[in-house]
Amino acid sequence: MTDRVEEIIAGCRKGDSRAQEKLYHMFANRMWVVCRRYAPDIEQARDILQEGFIVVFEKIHQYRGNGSFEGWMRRIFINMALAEYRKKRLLYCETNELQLYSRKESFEHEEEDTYEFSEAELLEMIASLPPQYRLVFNLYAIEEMSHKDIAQMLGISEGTSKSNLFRAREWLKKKLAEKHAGIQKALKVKW
Amino acid sequence: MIDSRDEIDRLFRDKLSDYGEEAPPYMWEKIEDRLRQKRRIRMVRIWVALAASIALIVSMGVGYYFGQYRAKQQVADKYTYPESIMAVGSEQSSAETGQLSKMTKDGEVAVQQVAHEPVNRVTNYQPVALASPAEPVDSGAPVKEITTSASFPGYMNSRQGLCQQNSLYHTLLAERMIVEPEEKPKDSAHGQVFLAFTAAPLYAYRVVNGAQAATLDEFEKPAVTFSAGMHAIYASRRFQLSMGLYFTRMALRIDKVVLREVAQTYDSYGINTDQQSAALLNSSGTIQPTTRELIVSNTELVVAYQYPDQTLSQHGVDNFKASLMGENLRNMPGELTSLTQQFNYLEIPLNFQYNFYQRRITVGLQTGINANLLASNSTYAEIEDQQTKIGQTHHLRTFNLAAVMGISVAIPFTQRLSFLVEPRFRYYLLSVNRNMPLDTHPYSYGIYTGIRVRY
Repeated sequence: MTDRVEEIIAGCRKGDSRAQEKLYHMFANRMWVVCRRYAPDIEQARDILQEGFIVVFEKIHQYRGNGSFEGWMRRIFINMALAEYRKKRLLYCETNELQLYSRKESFEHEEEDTYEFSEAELLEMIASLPPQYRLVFNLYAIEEMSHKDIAQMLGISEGTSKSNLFRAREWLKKKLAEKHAGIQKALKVKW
Repeated sequence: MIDSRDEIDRLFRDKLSDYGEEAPPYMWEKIEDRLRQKRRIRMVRIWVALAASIALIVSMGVGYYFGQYRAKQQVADKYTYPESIMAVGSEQSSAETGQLSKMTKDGEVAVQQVAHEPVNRVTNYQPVALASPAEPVDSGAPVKEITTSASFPGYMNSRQGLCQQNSLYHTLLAERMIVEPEEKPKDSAHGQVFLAFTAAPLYAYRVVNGAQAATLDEFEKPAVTFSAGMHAIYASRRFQLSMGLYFTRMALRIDKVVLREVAQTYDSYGINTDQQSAALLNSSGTIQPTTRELIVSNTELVVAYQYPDQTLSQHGVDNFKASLMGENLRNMPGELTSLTQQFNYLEIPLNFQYNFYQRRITVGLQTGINANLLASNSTYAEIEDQQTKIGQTHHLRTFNLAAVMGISVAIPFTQRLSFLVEPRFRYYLLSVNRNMPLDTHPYSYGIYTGIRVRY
C-alpha cells in the first residue's frame, strides 16, 4: 500500500492490472469530485469516471513525468466531461433563469456570522448550476483558466464565457444566501 | 459575508480543488470488466491485421510469379523457332552454305557439307525430350561438335519446357508459391520514437535517354523485384523523420535473347574464344557472361563484342554484329530466353514525412533521399524455369542516390502497434552505369506493408 506513485504508474504502463487497481483506489475519490463538478447528474458523473479511468490506463504511456500526475489525470476527466457536454449541448436548453433573481434581492446578510459551508454543500451547488454556467465557472474559478482558453474549449466567444461566469456567480451567490438564510432561520427556531 | 467575485471563486476553489468524496461502489469492477473486454478486442484486431498482412503478402507473391509466367508466355508466343532448334532426326539445310545439319539422339547437331540442292526448312519439327547420350547416333558422321550438354546442364531440354507453359504455370504455382514472412512489423504518437519493419514487391524499370532508347524499349521490360528492411522514426507533432537500412533489388528483363554455347577451342566462326566471349549491350551496361563458352546475343538489339575490361567501341559492335549475322553462326543451336539483370542495393533511406491527417488513422506525405550502395549484380537467364546465373553487368556505378516520394498510412491496432501501408516511388538520380553513353535511371513503384512499433 505504500507503493510510490511512480512505481504504480510504471506498473500501469506494463498493463499490470494490480497496479491499475491501486491507481484507481489512489485517485478515484478526487476524480469522482471532478466528475461531479462537471457532470449534469450523478449518472453521467459515473460514466465519465468509468470511461475516464479507461482512457487514463490506455494513455498512461503518454504521461512523461512533466508536472503532476494528478493534474494530468484531471485534464483527462475534464476533457471527457467537455466532450460529453459538446455531444449533448443541443439537448440543453439555454437557461435564462437569472431573470428569476434580481440583484437587489440577492444576499444582503446583515449578520456577520462565521458559518462555514461544507465541501459537499458547495459541490451540490455547483452541480445544480445550468450546464454552460457550471462548465465556465469550474474552468475559470477552480481550474483557473483564462476566458480565451475556455472560449476555445467550449466553442463559444470570450464574451459569452464572461457573461456565463457572471451569471454563474450570481446563481451561486443566491444559493449561498438561501442556504445561509435557511441555516440562520433554523438556528433561531432552535433557540 | 460572501459577495465579491474573488471571494466566491476562492471559496469554491479552496474547498473543492483537492476535495475527495467516496466514489460510487463497484466502480472498479466495472472498469476492470471494460479493460478486459478491450484487451480481447485488441487481440482480435491483432490477429485480423496479421491475417490481412499475410493475405496481402501471399497475393503479392502470387502476382509476382504470375507476372513472371506472363512475361515468359509472351516470349513463347511471339517467338518463331529459329532454324537452330531441331527435332531428333530432323534435318535442316542451308542454301547459302550448302551445309546439312542433323539433330542426333544424344542432343548433338551434326553438320555435313552436302552437294545436293538445299531445302532450307525445318522438317518434321516437334518439341521433343532428348534421348540420353548413351543411345547410338543415327546420322552420318558428325563433322563438328558444337554443343556439349555437360557445359550447360539442362540446356537442351529447356526447349520442351518452352512448349509446355500451361502445365508449367500450374507447377510453378504449386511448387514455387512461397509465402515470405518478410517483415516483422510494429506501431505509433508525437515526440516519440518508432521502429518499423516493412517490405514490398517492386515494379522496377528504367528511364533511358539516348540514341537507341526506342530500340531498347522494345526489348527491355520491367521486372518484379522486392525491397525489405527496417527504419527508425522520430515523430514530433505532424512531422516525422526516418532513417534505416533496406535491401532493395532493382532489375530489368531483356526478352528475346538467344544463348549460344561455343566450344572453347572452336574458332572457325571468327571468334577467338580463348580471349573473349560475346556480350550483350543494353541500357544498363554490357552483360558479360562469366563463362567463355557462352554467347549472349540478340541481333535485333544491340550486340556488343567486348574485350574484357575495355570500353565498348562501335567498331567492336559492328564487327561482332557482322560476325553473328554471318552464316556460320546461323546453324548453332541457340536457346531463346529472357535475361534478368539484378542490381542489389543496400539502401539507407533518409525520409521526411508530413502527416496531413492525424486521427485514429494517420496519413502523411513522404519524401526523401536514399543512399544506395551496390552490393552485388548478376544476370540470370531463364533456363528450364529456373534462373541460372550467366554473368554480370560491367561498369555499374557502386554508389547512387535515389529520390523517394510516397504516402504513408498508419492504422493502429493496439496502443503500440500500427499496420503500415506505404505506396512509394523511387527514382535513381544518377545514371546506373558510369561508362555508358546511354543515360539510364532506374525507378520503381511499390506498396510497402509492415508493422510499426512504438519504442
